[in-house]
Amino acid sequence: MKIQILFAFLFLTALPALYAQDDLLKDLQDADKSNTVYTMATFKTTRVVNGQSVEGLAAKHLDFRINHRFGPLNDGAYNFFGLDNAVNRLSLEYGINDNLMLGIGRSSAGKTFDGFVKWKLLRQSTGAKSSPVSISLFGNTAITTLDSKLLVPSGYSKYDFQNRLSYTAQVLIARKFNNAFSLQITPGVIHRNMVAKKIDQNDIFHIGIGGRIKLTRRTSFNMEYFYQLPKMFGPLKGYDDKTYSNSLSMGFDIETGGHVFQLHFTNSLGNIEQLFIADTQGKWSKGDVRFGFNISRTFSFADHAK
Amino acid sequence: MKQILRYMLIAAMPAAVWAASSCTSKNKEDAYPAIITACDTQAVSYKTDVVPVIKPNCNSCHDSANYEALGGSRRLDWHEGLSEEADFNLLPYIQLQPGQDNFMPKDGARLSECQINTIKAWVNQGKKDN
Repeated sequence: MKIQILFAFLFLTALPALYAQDDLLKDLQDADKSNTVYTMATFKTTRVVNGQSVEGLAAKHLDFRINHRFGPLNDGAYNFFGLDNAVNRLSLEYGINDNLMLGIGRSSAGKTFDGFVKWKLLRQSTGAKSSPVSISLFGNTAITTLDSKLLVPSGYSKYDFQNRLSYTAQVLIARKFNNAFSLQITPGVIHRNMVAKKIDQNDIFHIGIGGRIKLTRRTSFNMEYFYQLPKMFGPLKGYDDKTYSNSLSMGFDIETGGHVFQLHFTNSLGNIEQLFIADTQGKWSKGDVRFGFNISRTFSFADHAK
Repeated sequence: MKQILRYMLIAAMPAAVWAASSCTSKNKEDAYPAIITACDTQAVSYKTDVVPVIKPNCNSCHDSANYEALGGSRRLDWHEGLSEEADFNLLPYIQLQPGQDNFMPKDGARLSECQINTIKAWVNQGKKDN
C-alpha cells in the first residue's frame, strides 16, 4: 500500500517535469556563459510541509514561525473534527549568512525543545558555474522535558538526561524544473537515545520526497511523503504491532508579503523530524488525519542603506 | 563576516563533541525491567479489580460530578459507562506513551502493565458487573 502511494505520488509529480524539458534547454542555451545565474525560490519557505526544504533564510533575516496541528478529523463532531485539540511548535530561525541558518524551537508534543542548523552546500545554477540541483545539509538535536515520572515505569524515578536526546541528519536535494514545479528528495537518519520498546529502532533511516506545484502567483500545492526504510538494520519500528505509519502530508502555500501561510492535512502530530517521521501514528485510511497550518513571519535586520 | 563564521565554527566544535559523546542506544524495556508483581488476570472482577484501577486514575475528571465541567466528557465511574467506553475510548488511550496526543490519564503517569492488562482481561471476559 505504501509503495503504491509512493509510486502514485512520483507519477503525479513527474508529469509537469515532462513539460519542463523544453524550457530548461532554452534556458541553458540562452544563459550567458560568463555569468552564473542562481535559481531562486525552489520552495516558498524553509518547509515543504512538515519537513525542511532546501531553502534557507537570507542573511540577517529572522523568521518567527508558528506551526500548529489540530486533533484528528475522526475525533468526530463532539470534538469539532479535531479542532478542540491542538499541538504547536513556536520557533525563531535566523540566517547567519545566505548559506547558513540556525533555529531554536519548542514543541508542545512531548514538551520538546530543539535546535537546528541548515547549510546550503550547493545551489542550482546555470552559466559559468552550472549545477542541476540544490543541496542543503540539515541537522538537529531535540530534548524532551517531560517530567521524569511520566517517562519511567512505576517503581522507578530516575531518568538520565542523555535518554531525553534525539538527533536528525538529512541531505536535502532539490531541483526547480520550471517556475511551476519543484521536487525534493530527502534521505536522512534519526537517532533516538531511548525508545519505548525493544522492537523499536533507535536509528530510523528514511527517505522523503516532496514537491511543489505553483497554482497562481501567490499559491502553490505542496505534498510530502517520508518513507521509513524497512528492515535495513533490523525490523522496522513497530513492524509487528503496526503502531507507526509513514508521514504523508499535502496542502497549500499562500504567500502574502512578509507572511507565508501553509495550510495542510497530515497524518503526523509533531512538527520536528523526530516526531513526524519516527512517531507518526495516524493512518490516512482510517481518517486519522489532522488539519494544520504553519505561519511564517520574516523580519529583516539587513543593512539596506548602501 | 568571516570572523563571525570562525567564531561559530569554534563554538560548534565542543557542541559536536558533546552531541557525539551523549549518543546512546537504549530501550525502556531493557533499561527499566518490570518490577515483578503478581498480576492475576484469570478471573477479573469489576468491583475488586477494575474499580481500584479506574477510581484513583480516572475519576477526578470522568465521574458524575466532574465529567461535564472538566471536559472529561465520558463517565467511567459506573459499570454501564465503563462498558460503553472501554473498547474505543479507554484502552487505546491508556496504552499510549506520555506526551502522545490523547494519552490518558491526562497529565498523569502511565498505568502499569498489570493495570492495563486487568482492564483488557475484564473486557475480554465480557465486561461483567461482578
